[in-house]
Amino acid sequence: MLITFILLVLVVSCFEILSLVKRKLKKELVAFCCFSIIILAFGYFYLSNPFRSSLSYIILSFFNLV
Amino acid sequence: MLSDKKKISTRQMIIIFIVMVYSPAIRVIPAYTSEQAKQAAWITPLIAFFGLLIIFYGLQKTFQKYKDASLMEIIYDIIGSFIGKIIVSAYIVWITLLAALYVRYYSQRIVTSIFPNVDIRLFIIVMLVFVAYTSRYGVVVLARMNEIIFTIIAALFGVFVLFLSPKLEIQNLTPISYLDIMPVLKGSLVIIAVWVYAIFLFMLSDQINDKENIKKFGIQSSFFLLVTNILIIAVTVGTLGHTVSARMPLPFLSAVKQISFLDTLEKIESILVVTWIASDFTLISILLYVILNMVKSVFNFQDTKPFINVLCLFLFILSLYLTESSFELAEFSTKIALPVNLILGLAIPVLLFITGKVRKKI
Repeated sequence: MLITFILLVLVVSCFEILSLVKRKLKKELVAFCCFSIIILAFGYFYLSNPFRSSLSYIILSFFNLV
Repeated sequence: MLSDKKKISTRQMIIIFIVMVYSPAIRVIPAYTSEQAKQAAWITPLIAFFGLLIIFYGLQKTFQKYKDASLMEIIYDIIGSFIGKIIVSAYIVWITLLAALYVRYYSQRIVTSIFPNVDIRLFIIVMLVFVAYTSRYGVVVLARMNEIIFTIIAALFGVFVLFLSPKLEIQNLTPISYLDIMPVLKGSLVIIAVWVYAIFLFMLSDQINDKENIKKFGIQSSFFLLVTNILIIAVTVGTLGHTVSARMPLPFLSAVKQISFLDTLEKIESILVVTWIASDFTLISILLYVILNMVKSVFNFQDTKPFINVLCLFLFILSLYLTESSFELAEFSTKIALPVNLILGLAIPVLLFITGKVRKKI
């Protein structure tokens, strides 16, 4: 699943980056690359161990609501 | 500025609003209101109705002054660009979380109600692929598609209510006394927390024509939602009773499961699930548009279409990471999502409106 996800993000990113370069949208290109890296990191974080504490558990624990 | 052909009408936006609140209305409102207000739960939409009228009044007044501006531009004008962008960024974070939450609700509900042995990721992927595909064609296509979805949902909802009405027992909905005032007020909070999505929706106001009609269509939709929500709660609590309704994860579905007509028309709950999926599709798609429009405004982008696919991939991971079980989902929904919706959908807009009035901007 992790490899599939990484490949998918790379393929989609390449496709969109090419279109952004063609249209010379520099600001969007930089933001897009940053966002893609964040998604890759987040995807790796979750998919490397899907059984870690969930986000809602972390938020509920932070506010002492569990 | 967008040309008029690339914009949608206020009527279409209001129809999107009605369809998008249908799914949360069916999922959370009967259970929460019957837990809070018990047999008086069916009165709770009445309080929320006045809340919705206030929201539409505020929007009408705001857009009288700012005819072609988006809600984000209005925020920047009222409180300054820097603080405005911080507030809009908070909205981006929350609405992204909300979109992931609804992706999870949608898939969790299908797994809970019809396909218990199927991998939840399959349903998430199917929905997000469909959302990503249709989102590329713009909000106009979604609005037109939504008019058809609305007609189908309204017709099917009418059928459900019609077939459930013989099973409705008046003693489950009575007695009502002054002792129910506070529970009804508490119960109405969840309805207001769902109806404040009208504010999130108007983050797309720069893509809406004829905003002078907000008041007219706002009042019409408020009445429509008042009637439909009273019916949803009344047929659920009236059929199952408030104790059972409060304890069930999907009480309206359980009520619909009881429909039987001449021993031939039965098991029509799958049709209800179809209407839910249609409503969830509209909800997730429009939240995606709202996120992209806000990102466009904060970072002054020319185009955000290239972000659609990666945002859907992000929502896929976020929806999986958000919760582990339906119990956590329900806890997050009532303890976090409900108050944050009220803060971002009601408290902050009211404060901004008052600030705008004081600074004579509105």
